[in-house]
Amino acid sequence: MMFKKTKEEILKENLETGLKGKVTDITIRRANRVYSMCKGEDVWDITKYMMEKLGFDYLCTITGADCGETINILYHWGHKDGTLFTLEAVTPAAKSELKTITDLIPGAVYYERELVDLLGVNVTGLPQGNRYPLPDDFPQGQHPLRKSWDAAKYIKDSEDREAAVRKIQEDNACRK
Amino acid sequence: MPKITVPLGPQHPALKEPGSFLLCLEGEQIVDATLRLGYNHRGVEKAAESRNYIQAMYLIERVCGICSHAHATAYVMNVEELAGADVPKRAKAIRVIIGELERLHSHLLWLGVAAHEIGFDTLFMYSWRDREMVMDALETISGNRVHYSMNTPGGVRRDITAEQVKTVLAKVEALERRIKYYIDLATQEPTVIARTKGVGVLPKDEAVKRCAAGPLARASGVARDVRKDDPYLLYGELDFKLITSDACDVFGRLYVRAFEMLESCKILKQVLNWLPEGAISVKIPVKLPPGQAVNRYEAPRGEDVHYLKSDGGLNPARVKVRAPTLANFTSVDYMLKGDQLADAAIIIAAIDPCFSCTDRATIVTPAGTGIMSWRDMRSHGIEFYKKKGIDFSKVKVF
Repeated sequence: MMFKKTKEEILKENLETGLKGKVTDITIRRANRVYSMCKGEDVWDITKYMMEKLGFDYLCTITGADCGETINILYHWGHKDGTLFTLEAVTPAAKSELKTITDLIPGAVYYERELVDLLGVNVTGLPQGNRYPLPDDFPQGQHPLRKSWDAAKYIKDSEDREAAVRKIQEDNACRK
Repeated sequence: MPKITVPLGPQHPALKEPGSFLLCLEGEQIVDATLRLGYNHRGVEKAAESRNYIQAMYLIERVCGICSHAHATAYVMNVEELAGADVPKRAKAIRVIIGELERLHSHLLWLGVAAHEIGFDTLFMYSWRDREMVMDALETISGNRVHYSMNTPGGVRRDITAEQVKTVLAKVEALERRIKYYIDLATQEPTVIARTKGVGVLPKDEAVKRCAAGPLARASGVARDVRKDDPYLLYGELDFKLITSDACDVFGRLYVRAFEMLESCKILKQVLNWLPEGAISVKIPVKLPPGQAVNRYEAPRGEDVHYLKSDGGLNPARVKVRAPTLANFTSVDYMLKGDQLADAAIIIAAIDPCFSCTDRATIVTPAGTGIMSWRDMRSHGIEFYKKKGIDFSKVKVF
């Protein structure tokens, strides 16, 4: 008796044959949940293939995670059949770089800006626009979701800055 | 005609949350819109990394004042998946009850806000009065109006008694009659139709491209609902319809939400009448095995996506929260373009951007819990600041 392949197994097979080894470690954890790994530079090609050939049209979100040596960027894709496919792209922490996928799916724009602000990932080709979600005066080169980011130092620095501003204001008030 | 740029927000009477919309106008017409978000960014994801799994749950519950149950449930589903816990059916049923009551309360709140934005304040007051029925039902079950705190990793914290079931059922039935009246009103009232038809148009292909979620996507004909696509809790066993509309405008969003409320009542009646027996929670270890989980939850505004990564320690290694409003903001600039300035408020409100709602002030005094009147609150505030050296008692109140 032949067993019918599940949709997750079909997806795994399609990814393996269609992308010739670009997507690795494809694991089916449970019904509707498929996880996989890839290299940072292959994300754009894989995304294009998934959207054109495999019918993925909904990017749920992008998660960035600081894993020490590497920054892993997880693309969570939703399929009409209910599958939630996670593509985990590995980039080096020292030089985390990715090509934008907003030209393929414009809905990715805020998720990519989040990677830039919170993790310091260099997303190339991102359309011009306001930063998200940190304030415009947030210090350059600081990325709060990096494990090495020191929240206590940031708070002390901003308190010092505020105290300096207050002192100038008080001095000016005396001059009046 | 010269173009002028008008800022709408970040603080603006028409918006109840901080978000900046820089509108470029040609006469009354919006020709371009630039968004700036992040005014409410509180670093919840970072903060969760320095808390244990239970503490992080209470933090995550406070991401939103309206979908508090949605966020907490999505988060605990991840924790339970990593722990390999088999959550009792009764706990799942109680989660569905709270979740659907939350949807009713959120949609009624939205209906009121939308009515207010189009200048139909009678409908605003009606719908908010009826929303109180839902709030009372939630208070009956959980003791709270906003943060129900029903979840715990492994199940729920409180059981529902037969008496509570009876009270809530009576409220749901009364509400169903009111919702039917709102559906008639919203779909037949000429002023509502005039202010919503053809306003804030988002065609289906744009909604797909911009990854829209929830009622916004469904009102543009995209049949996307996690409860149907990727069923969680008990939704796979329940009988309810997925409401979509091909109107692609504010009217469609109104239509989808109005009919969704009826479906929520249908779900509530099913679950309340056939509440499974048994335990309400199972034990979950304090430390979770290393691994990752990602789960989705259909919140009132659309899909909540939660990702959880464990490295085997006491605290989560990474918590990611994607609230539906962020997914829907990508569509806002598109919808604003070409419309009238006067419609900007309702177009923005039509995605139901998330803002916290705190309904009444309760101060926990050492002796217990007391509800303060407006006068008590004012004198409490004056005393509080007096201790800090600021005297407000001379300030006149009109």
